[in-house]
Amino acid sequence: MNKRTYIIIVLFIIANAGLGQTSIVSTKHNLSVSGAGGLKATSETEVCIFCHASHSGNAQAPLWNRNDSPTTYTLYGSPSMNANTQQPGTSSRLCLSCHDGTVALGAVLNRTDPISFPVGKDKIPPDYRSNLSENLGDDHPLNIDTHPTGYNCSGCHTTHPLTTRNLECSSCHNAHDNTYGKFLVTDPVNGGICLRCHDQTNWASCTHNTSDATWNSTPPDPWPYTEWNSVSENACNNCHTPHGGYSQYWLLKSSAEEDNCLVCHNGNVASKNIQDLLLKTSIHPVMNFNNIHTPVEDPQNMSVHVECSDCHNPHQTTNASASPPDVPGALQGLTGIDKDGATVSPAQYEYEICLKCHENNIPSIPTYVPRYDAQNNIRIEFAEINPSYHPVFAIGKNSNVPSLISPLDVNSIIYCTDCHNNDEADVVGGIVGPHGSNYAPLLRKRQVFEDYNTESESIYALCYRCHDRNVIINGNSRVSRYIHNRHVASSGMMGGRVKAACTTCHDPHGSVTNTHLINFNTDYVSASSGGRLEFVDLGSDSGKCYLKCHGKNHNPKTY
Amino acid sequence: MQYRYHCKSIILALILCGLSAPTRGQTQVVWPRPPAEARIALEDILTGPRAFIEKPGFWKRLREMFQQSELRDIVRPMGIDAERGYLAVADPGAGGVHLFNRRQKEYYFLKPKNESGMPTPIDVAIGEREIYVLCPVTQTVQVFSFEGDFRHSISLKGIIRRPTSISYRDSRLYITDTPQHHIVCINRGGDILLRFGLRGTESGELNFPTFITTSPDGSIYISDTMNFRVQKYSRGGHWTQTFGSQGVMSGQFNRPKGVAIDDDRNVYVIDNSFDNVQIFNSEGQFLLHFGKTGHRPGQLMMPTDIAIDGDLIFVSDTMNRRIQIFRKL
Repeated sequence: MNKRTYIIIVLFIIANAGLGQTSIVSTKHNLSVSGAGGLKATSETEVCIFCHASHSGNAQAPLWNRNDSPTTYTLYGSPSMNANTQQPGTSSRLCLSCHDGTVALGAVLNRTDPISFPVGKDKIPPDYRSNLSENLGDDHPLNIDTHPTGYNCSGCHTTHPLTTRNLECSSCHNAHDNTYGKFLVTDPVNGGICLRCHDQTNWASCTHNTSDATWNSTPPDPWPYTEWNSVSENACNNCHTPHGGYSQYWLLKSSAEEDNCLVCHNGNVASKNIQDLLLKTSIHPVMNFNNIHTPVEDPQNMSVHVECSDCHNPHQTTNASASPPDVPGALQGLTGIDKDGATVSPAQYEYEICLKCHENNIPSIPTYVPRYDAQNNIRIEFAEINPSYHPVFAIGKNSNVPSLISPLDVNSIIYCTDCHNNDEADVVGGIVGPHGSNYAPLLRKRQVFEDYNTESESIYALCYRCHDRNVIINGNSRVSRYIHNRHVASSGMMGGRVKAACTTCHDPHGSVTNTHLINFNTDYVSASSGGRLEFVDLGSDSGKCYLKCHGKNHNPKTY
Repeated sequence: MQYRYHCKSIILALILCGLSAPTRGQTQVVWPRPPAEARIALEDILTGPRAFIEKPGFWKRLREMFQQSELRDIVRPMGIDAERGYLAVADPGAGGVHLFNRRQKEYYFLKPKNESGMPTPIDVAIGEREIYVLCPVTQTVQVFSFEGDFRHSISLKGIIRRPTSISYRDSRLYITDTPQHHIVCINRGGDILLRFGLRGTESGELNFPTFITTSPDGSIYISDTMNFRVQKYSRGGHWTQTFGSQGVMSGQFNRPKGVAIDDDRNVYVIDNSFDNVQIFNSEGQFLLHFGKTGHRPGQLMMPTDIAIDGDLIFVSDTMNRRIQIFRKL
């Protein structure tokens, strides 16, 4: 052969060696000694024997049992071999026989013990949201139309036969092909592997799927197990790690539920720092509870707890805004309790999410103002049948509220979070949401509940956020002059002699008996000399009170 | 489907309660099967300390009120060692080492103080005065007393890339370095005394060796896993013998892991893939295999290691979450 032919042959060999890029020969799964660290083309059969045992007929007869003929061992078990759902299935055993920490790293084995060995598990519980409508492990879908769309057969059925139809290592990994890294069957970016089987409602528009926020390199590393540096690339890996992290369930990275969120929502990835808000004095104490919350809990029957995921569904959350009472994007996809006390899923209105936990009084939350008409149920306080209530569930009863600050009017509906929120929510760039406030109980602005304080814009800032202070204490109506100015203001008709707080007469949630949210604070208000403690509404801008307050008898006093 | 599931969980519950009843009211589980003369019998199944320890007397209970006595069930047993009546089980699933004192019926759970566990203790060796626990993640050998107190830590950083197994003999610790395909022998202070092994397929060469054991005469037996054989070396690190080859027939291996020697110098080798133990005599002739795939008494599911103390053979039955104890008859 001439020189030219030689060159062509050599080039051909090199080109073919280059084609070995995606073959097992050039991967870590080439365990053969001769292939180590060389470009010479190793024979593929040398590499295969590490997993595929040859049937060499080189048996020895057992000396301790002359009756037994040399035994052949079955390598692949039958489907019925998998007697225990916690045992690895046939194809996964092959992986685990090296990936147990001896021949190879054992990090693939679940870190937590002994619950939830995911390999070989029959099925995801049917009421879990991540479950497909068809169980993977159970009946094979008979009707092609009900099969998840957009997937071909190799989406779930991979090169290794799923002999037991359970989840196996080979559902996600192909030991022969390292094209995508980690021997995965498809590109894992943006949830590529997980989404083949897990069908989360509204995931397509969820910020955890679409956001290109990156990490600013301040520890802790939110993505220690992956090499991507954006939220959308990590997708499922933002919170989950497929072989198991430190959480008890759901393959979450951290054992403390809120840590899975706060590792990004501390300003290092997400621009808003929720972690700092939880340092304030009045908070939703997510760090005080562990392993109580489940996504399928029954709101009618669950123990007291709070986690980030009680208010935020990480698979459905978006940045969409909404108007009261509708749920904004950040609160999409949650269970709640509606105004009739029934469980609703998903909750349509923001208050339904709050009622889920706060419907009945939580013993650890103190009563800030003892009321004449004490209610242990917030849902009843706001009920439409009441004579008065702040318009959270429905438009308010009073058609004459001159103090309302535009754009609010008598037909407005408000959110719970209009009063209960971060005390910096109204500052430019402030984070909106009842995560933490310096004013208990999680008040959006300062509100003092005690009498004898000199009135000012700041001590009743919460009420004055929506009700014009000037109209309240300096207005022309009888209420303004004879009630508010006389009892609340620090100057004017009574010259600040009474100094009552808004909450001494008004109950900000609602009153079961009275109009105008009247529900006296029994710390200061007691029965009159005639033995009555009562407000009587006499119509527009007129009423009378029977009570004794600060020693002053009203029996009655009328305006 | 529901019924079968419940059946499985009942069986599992029984096994997990430590109720091992292979010999009570049932025929004994023996190998080889009758009518051949029985050589190995299943003696007991150990799933945790509860069925094992004696009920403590009054004073012991009083003492335990002040101590932090910890009982942990076996979760994912890997390396084990048995010596002079002690059984030590390295359990990465439980995050520590179970130490059973079979003579006094005592139990200790070895882990670093003030921590919930140690990350992946993969193997353990029982020494003359101390217990040595191999921790690849921290690259240390943690040393404990026989009462479960942590003594000190020997660092392997820079000496070994990823240790897999440890064996103690005459004040020396033999450790396999799997990705480097060699064996390192250190003293209890951490100084290297001997290093041998090269990657290859020739006699004496290794390819991803995993478990190691030593016999009283100083010989070293290494499970040369990815060469599908067990190799024997002299105490100086010179190759002397090879057992087994790759294949699916008797006397051949698919995934050899733990290896142990009995008083007659027979070699017992665990095959993680065949779910059995194969026994060879000192000449290298195949004698018997026992065990097969399953979860019932006498059956194994991906066993990892084996240890022999006198006539008792201990097998860490990893995916069945238990130690099975056999007796050499």
